[in-house]
Amino acid sequence: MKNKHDKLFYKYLDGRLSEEEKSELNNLLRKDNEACERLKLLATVSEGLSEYSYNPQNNVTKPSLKYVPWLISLAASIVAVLSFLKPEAKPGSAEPEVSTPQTPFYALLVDQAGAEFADGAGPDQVKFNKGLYQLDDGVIHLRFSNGVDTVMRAPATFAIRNDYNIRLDHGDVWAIVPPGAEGFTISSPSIDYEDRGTEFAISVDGVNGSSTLHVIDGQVDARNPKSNELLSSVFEGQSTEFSEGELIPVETSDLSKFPSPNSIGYLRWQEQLSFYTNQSDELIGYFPFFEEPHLKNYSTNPIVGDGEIHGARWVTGRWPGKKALLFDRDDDYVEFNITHEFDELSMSTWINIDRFDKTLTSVFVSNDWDVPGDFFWQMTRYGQIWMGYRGGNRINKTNTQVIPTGQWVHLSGSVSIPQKRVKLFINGEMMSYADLDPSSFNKMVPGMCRMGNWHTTNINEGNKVRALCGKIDQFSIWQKELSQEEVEELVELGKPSVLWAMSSQ
Amino acid sequence: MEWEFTNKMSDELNADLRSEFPRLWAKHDPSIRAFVRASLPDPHDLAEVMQNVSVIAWKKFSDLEDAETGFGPWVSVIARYEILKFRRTKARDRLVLDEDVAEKLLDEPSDSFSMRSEWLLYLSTCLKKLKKEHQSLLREAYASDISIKKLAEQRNKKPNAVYQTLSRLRSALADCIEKEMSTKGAQ
Repeated sequence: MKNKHDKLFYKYLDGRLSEEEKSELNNLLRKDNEACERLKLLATVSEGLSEYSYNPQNNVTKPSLKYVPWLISLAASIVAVLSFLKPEAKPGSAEPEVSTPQTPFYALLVDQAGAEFADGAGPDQVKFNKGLYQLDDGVIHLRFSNGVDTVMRAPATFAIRNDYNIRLDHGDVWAIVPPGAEGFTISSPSIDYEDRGTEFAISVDGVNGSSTLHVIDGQVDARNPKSNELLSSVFEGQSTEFSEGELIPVETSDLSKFPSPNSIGYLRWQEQLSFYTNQSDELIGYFPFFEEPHLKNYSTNPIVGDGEIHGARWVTGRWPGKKALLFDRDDDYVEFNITHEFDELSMSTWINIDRFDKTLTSVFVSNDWDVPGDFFWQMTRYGQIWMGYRGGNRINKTNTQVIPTGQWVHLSGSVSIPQKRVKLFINGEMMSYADLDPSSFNKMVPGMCRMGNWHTTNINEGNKVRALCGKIDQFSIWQKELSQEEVEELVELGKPSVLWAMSSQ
Repeated sequence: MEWEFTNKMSDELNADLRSEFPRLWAKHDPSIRAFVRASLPDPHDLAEVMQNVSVIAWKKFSDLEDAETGFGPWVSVIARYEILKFRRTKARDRLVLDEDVAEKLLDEPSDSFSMRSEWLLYLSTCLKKLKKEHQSLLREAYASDISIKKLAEQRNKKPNAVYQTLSRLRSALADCIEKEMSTKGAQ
């Protein structure tokens, strides 16, 4: 009988297997190919039945999110993105199709900073279905299943009617409507704003119901919500206000109260600055890159001191409002004097490299490189990166990735003399490793060193110019070896946006 | 605080990824889940591995040359690796098979993915052949967190009797699917 083992298989599939039965199952599957095929079939039946039985009211399918933070998780977001489903295709009809995906929802929370919803007026984890929502605090970025992005700042009260219509009772919304999603409508208490393929911002006053529309790009039609009569078409650069039954053109005022998708990352970063200032003495240099005459060290154990900025200019960093230093000339650099001795050193930075046009490009290197203990962190013309010190021979080097240019990248690296190893990471993933032989010198003493450049007085040096072409936004120095988990946390804390994580790696 | 308004989402995310990946994933998701479930029956384990698989597939989607026909088998390869990686962290779990057995289950010929999709299609057909009361029982049993005990109480039956019925129904569905497959193969 081909189903003679089904009972055992069900115990396994239903989580009722004892240790003895587990052993029996392993032995059976090891020697019986037909049993393997039967188990696969029964597993498929079970999975198909789970979907067949989907019921929106019962909220059946809840992916486990235990490894990811609520709301801002990339992974959770992706899992949820994958479950986008047109409501018309839902089970619930007389004969639901087995192969239909699961939980229906109209929009997905793809990013947030400090978001708090009123009790009973929040999403199902990251999913927004039809219903009323009240955002009490923070900023949220929603993506609808048709690709429309909306960003809202608290306080805001809104109702999602479907994936083409939200009613905004109160608050500020920035909307980006991609081609194909024209017709997306934001309804205010007295007027509908129907997108014709564009980007726009709407503000609704919750007290008197008045609303203001700013069209950033494209066209938006203002319509009477009852008759659908076209009241006005508003075009790029124009603003209009609807108040007391009248629609009147107005000057476009300051739009800074509207958050953009990218600005959320900055807000989140600002909230998490305390992470660095609450670190132990092992964090000896924390440079958030606030625009100041010196590159100030905000670490609570600032033995590295401040950096002296030479030439490098303040420009926009990972987000609008956040600063970075631009290094694009041969004499741009930031200089430090680090006189302590270290057994372990780690550095991490957010960097955006324009190009590799020199044999070697410096991230952070001791001047002259003539004394045992001098430190280096630099990149090759091919985008490979290495870290080490004079006197520590690196052996068995492996390098699996190169650094991408033209985008924000998180770089970090550690040199551990006790562990005899060097580890380097790109965007949280280890990409280079080397064993270290510290037998000729077993201390790191960076001394005078430069960020974004290198200085040497050696006239015989062939690669004197190692100036960085790009931007640096944030830099940290630790007197310990960073673990994989710690590096991943640094990436998570500072990533430009959730979408950066999806698209840049 | 200064804001700039030139940062459009379209600059950050490739339009093809945005439109194609979710569609392909939604299409193949049931088959991928079924593949993972045979090796990781615990729903939490399943969800976790599916998360990992989806993230990796998203990241590497641009590497896939023939997405329309190759997506399912390609994701299965990713899933295979992730299952093996995951099971090593839980090797002592009751529901985690020995490594050699797990590898045997996961080593499939290239056409297995499409076969699993067919199984799911025929499951739909076979379900319709069941009595309405049995369809209802299966739907309720799988629909939510309801326990077998509760289900039995609602039907004024003993839990074991309900469990046995559910087992028989699943076996009947599996037999039906095999029969449909062989009928199709004979045509």
